[in-house]
Amino acid sequence: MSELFVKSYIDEIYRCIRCGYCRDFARYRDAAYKVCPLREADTTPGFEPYSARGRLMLLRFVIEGKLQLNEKLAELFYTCPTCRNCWDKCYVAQTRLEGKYMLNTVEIYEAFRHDLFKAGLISPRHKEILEWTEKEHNPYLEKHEDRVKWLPEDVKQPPSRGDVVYFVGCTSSYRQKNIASATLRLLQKVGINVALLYGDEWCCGSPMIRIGHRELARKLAEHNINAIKNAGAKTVVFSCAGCYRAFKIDYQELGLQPPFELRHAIDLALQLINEGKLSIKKEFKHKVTYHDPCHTGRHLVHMRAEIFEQPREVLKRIPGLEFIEMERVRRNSWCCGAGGGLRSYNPQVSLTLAKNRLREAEGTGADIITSICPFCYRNLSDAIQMTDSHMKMYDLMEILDMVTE
Amino acid sequence: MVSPHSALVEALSNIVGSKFVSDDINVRLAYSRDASPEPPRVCDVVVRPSSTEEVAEIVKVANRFKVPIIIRGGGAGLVGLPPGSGGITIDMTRMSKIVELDETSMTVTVQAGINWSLMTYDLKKKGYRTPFYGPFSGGAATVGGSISNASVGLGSAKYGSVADILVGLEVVLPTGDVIRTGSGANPYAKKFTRWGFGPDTTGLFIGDQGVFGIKTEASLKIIPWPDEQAFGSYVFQDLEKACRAMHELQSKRRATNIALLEPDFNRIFGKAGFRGLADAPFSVHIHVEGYSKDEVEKHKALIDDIMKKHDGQEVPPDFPIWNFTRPWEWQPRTGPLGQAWITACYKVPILDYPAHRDLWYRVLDKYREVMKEKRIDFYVASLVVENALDPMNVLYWFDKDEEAREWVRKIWRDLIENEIRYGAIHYWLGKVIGERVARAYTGVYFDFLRSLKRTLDPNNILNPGLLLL
Repeated sequence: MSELFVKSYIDEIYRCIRCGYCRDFARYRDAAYKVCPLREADTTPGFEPYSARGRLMLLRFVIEGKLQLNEKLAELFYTCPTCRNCWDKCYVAQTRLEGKYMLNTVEIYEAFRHDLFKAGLISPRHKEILEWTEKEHNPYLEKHEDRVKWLPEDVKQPPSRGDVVYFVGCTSSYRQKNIASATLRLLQKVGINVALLYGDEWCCGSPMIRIGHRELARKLAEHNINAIKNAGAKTVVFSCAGCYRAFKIDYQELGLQPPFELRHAIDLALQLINEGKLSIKKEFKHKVTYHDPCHTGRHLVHMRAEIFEQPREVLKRIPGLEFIEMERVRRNSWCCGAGGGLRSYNPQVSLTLAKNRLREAEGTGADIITSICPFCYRNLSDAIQMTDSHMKMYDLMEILDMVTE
Repeated sequence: MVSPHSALVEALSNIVGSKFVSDDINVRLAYSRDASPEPPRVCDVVVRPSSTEEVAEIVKVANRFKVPIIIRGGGAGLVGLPPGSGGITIDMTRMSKIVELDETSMTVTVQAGINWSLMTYDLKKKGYRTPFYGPFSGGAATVGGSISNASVGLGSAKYGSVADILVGLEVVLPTGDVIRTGSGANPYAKKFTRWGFGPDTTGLFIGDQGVFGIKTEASLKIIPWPDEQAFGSYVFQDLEKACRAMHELQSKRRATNIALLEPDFNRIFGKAGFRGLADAPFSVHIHVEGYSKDEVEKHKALIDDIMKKHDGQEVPPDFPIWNFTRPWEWQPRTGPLGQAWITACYKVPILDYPAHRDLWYRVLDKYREVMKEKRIDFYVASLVVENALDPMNVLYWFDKDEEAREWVRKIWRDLIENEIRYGAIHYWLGKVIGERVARAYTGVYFDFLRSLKRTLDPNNILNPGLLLL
């Protein structure tokens, strides 16, 4: 067997002092709570490997040749939404040495998932997703030719070239089409002649990185960068937290440098509101709470690019809207369970996490939960449906679309 | 293939449900170490009970199968797991509920698997705290684990150890029988006092390393949450003067927490921006609590007088503000360069501390060359525990370097053995310190403990081998 990729993180792995603070302690507003959503979820047994400490200890055994890769081990590493809360709450991880964070848990897990993938230890579902994406460039088992079917008839047909490209992403193209439509309508309302890549848009590669197929992720990334270059774009706008994170972080880690300005749509929307180019005309008489996606929050903190304030600023500008925060927000946001390949790997656990987050949202008294990630939208919507919750899920771009003209 | 332990797994599954039992090698390996550099000890099966009844049934199964039980709390011990291999590891952390807050008796009863931070912040919501509020590892360390190790730490200058706040226990004995100690032994009484109603059997289970029983519930004293605080930091050029100052201060018992930092830690904290510490040889840090500004200011003024009388020079109290308003955040860190660390805390009368310190350096002199070669460092900080000082002499090494790790294990053992001979009272003991402590027992005392163990645990089920029992 070739050298394990995870060995490139050996220094970090050996820095875990096994203090166990990745399990149950995070200090926040004079409260303590569990760090790992898997340990809170009652669908997992909560054994040690359901925490960073347990996983890192197992990796030591793997590196030392005392534990062979095996199916159960793969199960333990894939049963994780990679929400990065264990990194955020670990005092070792949060310490910098020579300018770098000392222990990057999620990067380590994903490096090991690459080893598991190479060893053929991925689930049949993930294998199907990878094979389909290789062929049809999306993980939803949909035809590539159907990618742009979301495009509503009531909007001006976007050009295929332009300064600004809207990278729609697979989830909004094939599932949460409402988010793609709202985003496009909003951009067009302010007169941005936003372009689409149409058939040249492929999956961003995020699910492939999360599953461990780095080669396919790189292929997709190279394609997308070239497609955007060919479209003549200087700026790429995203409504998907996962795609945004992929371009912002994963592409760099794959050795690629997207030569574009990368903007999440909500960041751009706030700028347009501040500049008076997007004006909010209508009331939105609802109690609204906001869910911070991991991929626009904790995943971007290390590069100081987190998107915490922009959505809150936007929400506060909407007349009639009563904004109520949940207890765990911003860096402490509680993962919805969709990410890290968990939703496709173990839907039951993934949905339990979503239900836990929904319960917290319900506790605010809000009737609407909003976010800026179509994947969070999917999981939280499913949780709403499964629990007959009184809440409704909207993407923040949808709300903005409703209140602007 | 049928697991060699399938009958055991089945029996345990019948108690807690199959979800909370695992004989998977990955799970067992993840439970094979604590936070010490000791080699792994792999059990046969891990189980996560949620109630006293389940624990009692597990113990009965262990007796039936004649397999040992390894009891695990937060898993952050620094002493190694019991010797040997195999057996059942009981992970107590599902038992993490606050059972009863009795505001009339001023006690709280908790399941033993709750950790100190979760308990403290839940109590805070009701306006209370335990007087001693946990070891420095309290973000992971459980209340049960602390009792087994007679923990000291936060609040110890004023309130002592976990033993001093304990009014009673619920314990599953090694046979699976369940008893209550303290006033809880009287089925008609509240759980409010430890003493009376016969001998103090609570004490039997404090510091026992889990060899006499499994704590499932603990009843602890509570106090109203102290809203007011004051802090003081003082630099001393001379260790003996710093000790005399702390000694005099403890005759008044005004401070909740008192810490002593030595040159290396002063340098680290100084570099991190804690004012006045960078070049300080020794520094003493005080945390005072109370219920009014007047009260804490009076305490602080008295402390000022005592510290200055012994030539302490006041500096901004950055360290105690950080360390004591954000408890549990100092310990879970590596060395300054990402090193692993180990220590052996113990209690020694405050004025005896300088002699103990000399002892370490005499021991370390033997290892100077290898410490330099293997980049092993030694830093010291101490905490006051009532009339004693509790030094934390820390060895740092790069854990990836297996040879360095082995040298650290050797140096650590050498230090412990010398400390015991010089009258140190270690309290968290586990395998490494426990066997050294037990060797220091007189024959009569060891025989007494052994006969207790044989009476309570005829099959030697619970944490066998700890304290050489």
